[in-house]
Amino acid sequence: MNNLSDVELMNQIKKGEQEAFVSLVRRYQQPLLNFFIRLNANNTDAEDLVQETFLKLFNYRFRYERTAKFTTFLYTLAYHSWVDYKRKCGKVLTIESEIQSDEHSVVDCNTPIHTKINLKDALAKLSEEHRTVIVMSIYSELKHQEIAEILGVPLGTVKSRIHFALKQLREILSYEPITTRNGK
Amino acid sequence: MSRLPHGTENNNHCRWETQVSSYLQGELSEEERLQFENHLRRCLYCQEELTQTKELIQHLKEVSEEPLLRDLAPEILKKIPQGVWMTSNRRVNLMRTHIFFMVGAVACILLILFSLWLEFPKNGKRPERNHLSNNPLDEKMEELLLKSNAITDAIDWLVKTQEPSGFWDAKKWGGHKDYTVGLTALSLLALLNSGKDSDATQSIIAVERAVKYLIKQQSDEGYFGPQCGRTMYNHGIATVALLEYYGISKDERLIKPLDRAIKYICTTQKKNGGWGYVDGKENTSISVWPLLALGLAQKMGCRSIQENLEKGIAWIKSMFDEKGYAGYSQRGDFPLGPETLTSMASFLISLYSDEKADSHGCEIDSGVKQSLEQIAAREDSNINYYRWYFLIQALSTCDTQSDKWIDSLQKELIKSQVKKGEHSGSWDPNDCWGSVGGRVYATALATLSLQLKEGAQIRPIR
Repeated sequence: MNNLSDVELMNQIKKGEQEAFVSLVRRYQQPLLNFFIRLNANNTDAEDLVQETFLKLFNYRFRYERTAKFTTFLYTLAYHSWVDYKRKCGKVLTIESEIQSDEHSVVDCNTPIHTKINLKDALAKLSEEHRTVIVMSIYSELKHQEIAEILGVPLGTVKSRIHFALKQLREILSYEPITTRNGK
Repeated sequence: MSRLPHGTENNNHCRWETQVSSYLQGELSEEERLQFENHLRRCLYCQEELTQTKELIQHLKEVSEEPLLRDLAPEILKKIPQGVWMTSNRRVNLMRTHIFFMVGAVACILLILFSLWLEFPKNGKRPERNHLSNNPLDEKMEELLLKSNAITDAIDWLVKTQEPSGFWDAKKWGGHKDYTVGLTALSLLALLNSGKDSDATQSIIAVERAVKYLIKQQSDEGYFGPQCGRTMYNHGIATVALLEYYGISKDERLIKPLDRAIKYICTTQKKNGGWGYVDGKENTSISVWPLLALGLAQKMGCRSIQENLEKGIAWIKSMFDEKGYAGYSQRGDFPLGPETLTSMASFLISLYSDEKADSHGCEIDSGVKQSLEQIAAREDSNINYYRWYFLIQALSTCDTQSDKWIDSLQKELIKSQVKKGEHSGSWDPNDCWGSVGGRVYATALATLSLQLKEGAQIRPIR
């Protein structure tokens, strides 16, 4: 089972093979856990979210088509679990705010410039939209097109958000360039 | 726009800088990459951006992973009913079934080949083929394929045209703005029925967005959509769609909104049992959707609406005359003809009543049969999306030789689907309600009409 591809495992799951489902869970539970933690869930909630994602995967198993990329499917379910979780936490994340958020939204940069700050905290300081694209593209290694499909935004929006998120991270981290502005 | 040297607009900005992260992540096309590298050779600003961004990304990747403290698989499995998994006994039975069907399939193929051999004249000439295939199996397969493709294209169009906030804009697509909620709900129904006919990921996203949008449209009084003369159309269709969604997903977000929606339907039921425009009399056309909703709710175990449902069905039955036609606000009242009203009413009664005949002893089926004969008699088969949707639903539940009529209507729909251009996959809103519902109305209802499988489409909740 461990040698089967994601698509092959999904086909087995559709046929009712429990072992295939377990293989898929074990293959992706760690990446999903980190996905949710990097989005800013605590460990306990992140585990719950991983479980919820796999339950959704099971419930929607017949809607998965082998021509579609599996990671897009999985992370779409994960992202929706995350959105529901945020709503239950009282942090309303409406569709409008997801899609139409200001690209130049102010980052909470309470930390003075030149004070060292670790990367985890820096990520946490990003706005929801920017943190999401960073986590998806850099940690989950999803393609920009996939991210666009998952979030339901245009490809250009994803690219812009990544660009601005990285810029903001550099500001937060007071990033010291290894080269000077005058050359290498 | 004039260009500064190296494409730099000023010392703090370069219009190429947004490409830096895409370049580093290998997201540029070959052409874009070459163009960017060409620019990079001459732009100090972008060179620096590239270096800094590259370092940042490398550092970001160094953020350690959180270790997984335990295997979550056992806990997840506990939440899935055991009965869904394949056991070794079921596996053996399934294998036997597969073998049985494979043997059967091989036998069929051999039979077909044998028939073809018998038919092929000994002089070597091919027989003249008429426009109908000599092989009914081929014809049926082709019809199914055409239908499946039509549905896929329609779903793709619906997904493509959904607004980011989850609705379909009635006015944008040629309809009346007050119907946006109702049209969104119809589109949601089409998506829920799409199943394997479409790209799953996009479908799921579209469904989720539509559901979220509809929930947000609920007023304090419990109805979905704007307060206007068309309220019950919007509300009835939205409630049906959300009930269908709840039946599939068991999404608890919907419990309270649906409770309130059903309450609104019950409290606005008029004294004779039907529903109508805000200050108007009951009429069959408006009454169908809230009654469908009550019927669905009842099948989901909601008992408190039993009396409302029975009263409503009784009122609908009272609309039938001796010939089996359903009237609009009373018997014999056919402002736009009896066909649509009869189809709608017959379909409702077939779903939620144990009787097919009304208390006056007339056969509802005969009214539907007559409608069919009238439609079939029209050579040009003018499409009426609303009527045809209910007609196809009613035909599937009536005890008639209905398949040929369903096939005929569906073929007409497939033929008229837009195949090219920006509206490819949709249907032109060229029926009598086209100016009210627009392209979304036409497409959603045509899709629902094609999606009919066995039995009624609005089915009991599982």
